[in-house]
Order: sequence, then structure tokens, then C-alpha cells
Amino acid sequence: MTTTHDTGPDPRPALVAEDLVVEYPAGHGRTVHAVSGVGLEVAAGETLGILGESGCGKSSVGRSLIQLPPPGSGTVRLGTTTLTGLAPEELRRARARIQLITQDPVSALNPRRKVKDLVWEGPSIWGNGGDTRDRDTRIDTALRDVGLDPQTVRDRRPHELSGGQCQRVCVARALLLEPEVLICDEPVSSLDVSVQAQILNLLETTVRRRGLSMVFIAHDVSVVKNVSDRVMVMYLGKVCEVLPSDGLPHEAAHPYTRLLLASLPEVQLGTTGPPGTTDAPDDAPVHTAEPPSPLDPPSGCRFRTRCPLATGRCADEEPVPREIRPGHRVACHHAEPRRNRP
Amino acid sequence: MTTPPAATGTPLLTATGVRTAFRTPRGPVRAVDGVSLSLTEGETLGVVGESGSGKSVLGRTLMGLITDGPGTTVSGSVLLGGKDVHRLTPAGRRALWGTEVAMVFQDPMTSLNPVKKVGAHLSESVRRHLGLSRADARERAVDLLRKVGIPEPARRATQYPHELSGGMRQRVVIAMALACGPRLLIADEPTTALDVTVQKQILDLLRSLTEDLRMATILISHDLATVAGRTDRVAVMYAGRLVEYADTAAVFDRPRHPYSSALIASIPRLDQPPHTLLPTIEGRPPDLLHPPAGCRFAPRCPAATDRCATEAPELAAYAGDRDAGGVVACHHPLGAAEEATV
Ligand SMILES: Nc1ncnc2c1ncn2[C@@H]1O[C@H](COP(=O)(O)OP(=O)(O)O)[C@@H](O)[C@H]1O
Ligand code: SF4
Ligand code: SF4
Ligand SMILES: [Mg+2]
Repeated sequence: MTTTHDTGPDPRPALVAEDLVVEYPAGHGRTVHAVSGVGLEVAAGETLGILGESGCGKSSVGRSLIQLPPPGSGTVRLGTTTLTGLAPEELRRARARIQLITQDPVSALNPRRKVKDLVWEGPSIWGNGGDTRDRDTRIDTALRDVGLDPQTVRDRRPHELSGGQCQRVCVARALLLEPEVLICDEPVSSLDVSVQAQILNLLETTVRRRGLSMVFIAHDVSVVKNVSDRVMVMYLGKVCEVLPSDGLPHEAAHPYTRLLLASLPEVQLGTTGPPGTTDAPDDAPVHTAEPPSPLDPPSGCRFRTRCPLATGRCADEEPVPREIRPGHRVACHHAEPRRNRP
Repeated sequence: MTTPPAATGTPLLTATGVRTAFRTPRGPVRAVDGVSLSLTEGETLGVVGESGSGKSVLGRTLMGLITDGPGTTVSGSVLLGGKDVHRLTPAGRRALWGTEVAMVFQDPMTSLNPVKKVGAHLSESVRRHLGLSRADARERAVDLLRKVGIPEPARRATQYPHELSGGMRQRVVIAMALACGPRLLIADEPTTALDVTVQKQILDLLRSLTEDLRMATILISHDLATVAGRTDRVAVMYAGRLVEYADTAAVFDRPRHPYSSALIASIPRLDQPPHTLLPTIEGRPPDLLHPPAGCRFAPRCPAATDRCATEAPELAAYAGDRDAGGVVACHHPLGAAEEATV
């Protein structure tokens, strides 16, 4: 099994995962190969984006990082603490340092509880809220930090808030524990574009101000580029490519990344001309097929059934990630470095 | 009432002053409040707006799925194939479905019977509507599957919906909608549940079918980017009304309404560097039980004046003729001042 492993700028990364494997039983003795040997590193203060379509395993990677549930195999280190294999009590304490924000903010919040209690859920679970006399002050500060007016929302319940406000409550709840790392799994996918922009800005400013590390998982290329320093592209449980996010779209070299880019509507590519005159990669694969099943992934390169560059070698031999320029790794036998931005 | 932008050719659909309100214990919810639009052969119209703006209610009212009745008030006229959908008997309306107008929804499974084979979904409706023999209907079903780009159509016809991927199911639903040769197709978020690469395939399919079959298509979407490259004209909805209605290229290049402009600006784009803060729209859309008296966007509009708070703007042609054909509902459209001085 190959581990894709990239090196961030900081010599002491905030979060490291090595050779993660996640499998789910699928009945009839079959296995869903959701994640097959994925590694990553996130430096202190860095945001790593994980990009891929549904079923590529990106959420399973996110859940392995917080050990909910732990990966089938592989290791996860948070700072100097190895989370994989930690005793339950120690793991419980370490979890406060790595917080998850999910796609559906409404169902992430207990509908019967008021906002002030929801925000305080962390300290009441982890028992590290310190002096509870300053509880109300800390709740109000946390709410203000995410752009909510404490007076207005403190005593409301989730159904009285909009989706965007619920997501802000989730962020406030996570931040109250002063984590080192935020894992965000599709945090804006269920929101309208104007609300999406508000939440992206909130995450961006929060992470900056507090020097947090973030893993930002999403299917939308433009959203991922907007928040990330580096982007890791996944396909069918494997890493295809890791590159600095300002290399998108022009430097992307893996045929799958190029297919994703070619599928984008023009406004996201940011063309200035009228729709139709696109700046989309011109030699991107024309694809007809849909992704194969993770129950029975193709041999060799998992993308080969849809790849226009595939050769016999791609069926026999799994591509090992190689560095095509500093900080840019591609797992493909035939991909070449591409021109710099125009 | 202002006429919608000039469309060449005889209109297939002409909707004038359409209003749909739902009676609730707290008063009428005016989901659609005076919408006029028209489509000609071969044309694709995008209807965009955020969730709750009335897009789906508009689509269902145009189709005649929502009619005047005990819980709902519908007024205005919807002319389709020379008949007013809302002046027909229920049987008369049903006769239009499939042959004059058909609809495709977000989740293909809502239109598919899980225990019925793919081919049967198609052959039954062509037998009923077109009076074909069993054998001819089966052949027509396979033809339709081929037309919507399903590989191995004869084999697929014998499978059940759950044996197909999400993208293939949506193709089947499109084939069902096309089975009896409708003149107008209304597609409500047809790709929202699909992956980006599959989304592109389905949108390209709808576009080419509309042209090849000389139909007209209304593409309803919360995602402006989806609509950008795939439509001829766009209608932007806000709080039950059209705020801008013009050629797609004109709306995306030079939005005239402050809301359209803000919405387009809030989409992250790949030509922006990472960590770009996105422009946002403060506040939330109005409560449709108590919409503001004047312009419904006034409480959130940076350009609002006193007049905006009291007088509701009507859709009107732009000042100057540089974007002939477009209409905007705003007292102070963007770009108007600078054009007046040219
Ligand atoms: N609890 C589970 N049981 C069985 N299969 C699962 C479970 N969770 C995820 N999967 C499967 O694992 C694969 C990867 O899933 P996921 O990590 O959720 O992907 P993504 O987040 O990219 O959509 C998919 O095929 C999915 O159906
Ligand atoms: S290894 Fe082969 S099949 Fe895989 S992406 Fe590269 S060229 Fe395509
Ligand atoms: S009419 Fe006034 S409030 Fe409404 S969009 Fe135009 S400028 Fe803004
Ligand atoms: Mg997911």
C-alpha cells in the first residue's frame, strides 16, 4: 500500500496522518474500500483542503482524524500526541484539541437546547470549562466572535435560527474549547451562496486570528481554493494530487483534477467574457463514464477507467506519488508539470 | 405590467402577472408575487434565486401542479400551447402534462417506482399517451434511453432504478419527461444532488435536447454558476418577484440589480487568489407574511433611498439601449448614472 505523504512548511506539524485505511463491511462478505492508504500533514496555522466527489472517502478521512471512529489502520498524531491507540480517557481529553464542523448545522445541534447551552456543550462534556462563574461572559464572547448578537440568540433554539446562524453556533461551540485544529466537512454545502460567503469569511478570519490549523473538506473546487493553503485531491479512496492552492486551476496536473476543473461552470473559473467563452483546460479529458464502485476498485490506478491518458501500465501498476515541482505531488504515471499561470 | 424582454419567434409559454399565495393561520404567504415571463422554441431560461425565493412554487404553478383552491390562491395567466393552464378543468390540465409540459425534479427517485423496471417507466406512458403497441412502446423506450445518453439502453431497460447511479437515474427521469414530446420542460434543481462531473453531463444533455427537439426549457437553480453557461436568458428571483430578467451574458457581465450583482460577487472564483474575503449581503430575505412595503430588497440594499422604502419598483427596460431587451426592477439600477453621462 502506498502512502501519499506531503511535507508542509512547518517542521513540527500540528496534525499528521499516515497510511490511513478505512473499510466498511457491505454485506455478503464484501468490503467498501473507502480510504486506502492516505497520509497528510498540516502545519501550524495552515489550512489543507481535501477535494473530491461523493464517495471518494474524504469524509471518512475527516472522521478518522478525530477518531470518530478511528481508522482501520494507520496513525494520527495531533502535535506530539498519537491519537490512534490512545486509552479512552486520554482520547476524550485530547479530542477537545481537534474539533469537527459538519455539513448539516441544524442536525448537529440538539433541537431542545438553547443556544447558550449548545455553545457550552464542550466544557460540560470535557469538563475543562474552568471557572463556571465566567460562563455567561465566555458564551457571549464566543457568540460575538462568530458574528452573532448574544442578546438576540442566547435563549433561542436551533429551529428559530437560519441555517447560516446554526453553522455560526457550531463554530462558536467548537472554538470555545480553544482547539488547535478544526476539521470542517462540507461546512457550506447546505447553505445558499450569500450565506456560504459569510461562513467562509468567518472561518478565514477566525483561523487567521487564532493561528489555527484547519482541514477543510469539500466537493467545490472554488470554495476549497478560497480557504486553503494547499489542496489534496482524492479519488476513490486514494490521493491523486497535492498542490499549493494558488496553483489551481492552471498547474493542476492529474487527469482527474483536470476533469473536475473542466466540469466547472464558467463563472467559477472567473472568465471575464460572456458565459461560453471558457478558460477551462482545453485538453481536459472528455469523460463519459461515472466513477466505479469502491466495493471493487480498479487495479493499478483507480482512475484508469475514466482516464484519457491510461495505458497498459496504469492497469498493472499503481502510480506512486512523485514531486513534479516543490510542494506539488502527483500520483500518475503520465502526468507532466504544466505551464505556470499566464 | 411591463412586458418581458423581447423574445424572437412565437412564444411557447407566456405567463403574465402570476401570483401564488398559501393561506396559513398567520395570513397569506405570497410565495410568487406578480411574475411575467415568456419562452420561445429552442430557448433555455434560467430561474435563479436563494432558497425560499419562490422558484419551485413558480415552476409548479406554471406546470399547473399548484392551482387555485382551498389552501392556495393563484391568479394571473399561464398560456401554454394556446390554453390557459389555470382556466382548464383538472382533466384538461392532465392532458397537457407529458405532451405540452413536463417536469424534472431534484431527486430522481421521487419520479421512479423502485419495483418497476426502467423500460416499463417509459413504455407505459408512451402506450397511454401515444397509443403504441406493446412491442412498439418497448422499442420507443429503448430509443429514448439512447437519446438521453444511456449506454447499452436495451440492457438498462430491463434493470431496476436502484441498479443505476444517480446520474443515470436522472437521465431516465429526463427520458420519461421527454417520452410524449412535450414542448416545454421545467427542470427544478435537476443536478443539485449530483456530483460536479455528472452535473455537467446532465446540463449539457438538457441543453442539446432543448435545441435538437425544438423545445423550451426552464432551468430552476439556487446555483447561479450552474445556470451561467447553460441558458439563453436568466430571471433572478428575490422574495417572490423577478428583480432582473435579461440575456444570461448581460446579467453575469453587467448585473443591473443590486441583488443580482451582490449574489454574483459572493461566489468564490478560481481566478481569485486563496484567502480572498468574499463580498457578502448583510441581513436575511424578508418574511413573506410581512414583506416590506416598497422594494423587498431595500432593508439589505446598499443603494436604497427613501423612495425605495415606500414605492415598489416595477420591471422596466434599462435606461439607455446598450443591453436592449433586459429588464430590471430597481429605482436606481447599477450603471444607470454613468450611462446617462455618456
Ligand atoms: N457507515 C458506513 N457504512 C457503510 N459504508 C459507508 C459508511 N460511511 C461511508 N460509507 C461508504 O464509504 C465510501 C466513502 O464515504 P465518505 O467518506 O462518506 O465519502 P465522501 O465524504 O467523499 O462522500 C462511500 O462509498 C460510502 O458509501
Ligand atoms: S496513472 Fe494512468 S490511469 Fe492513472 S491518472 Fe495517470 S495516466 Fe490516468
Ligand atoms: S429599488 Fe432601491 S432598494 Fe431596491 S434594489 Fe433598487 S436601489 Fe436597492
Ligand atoms: Mg461526505
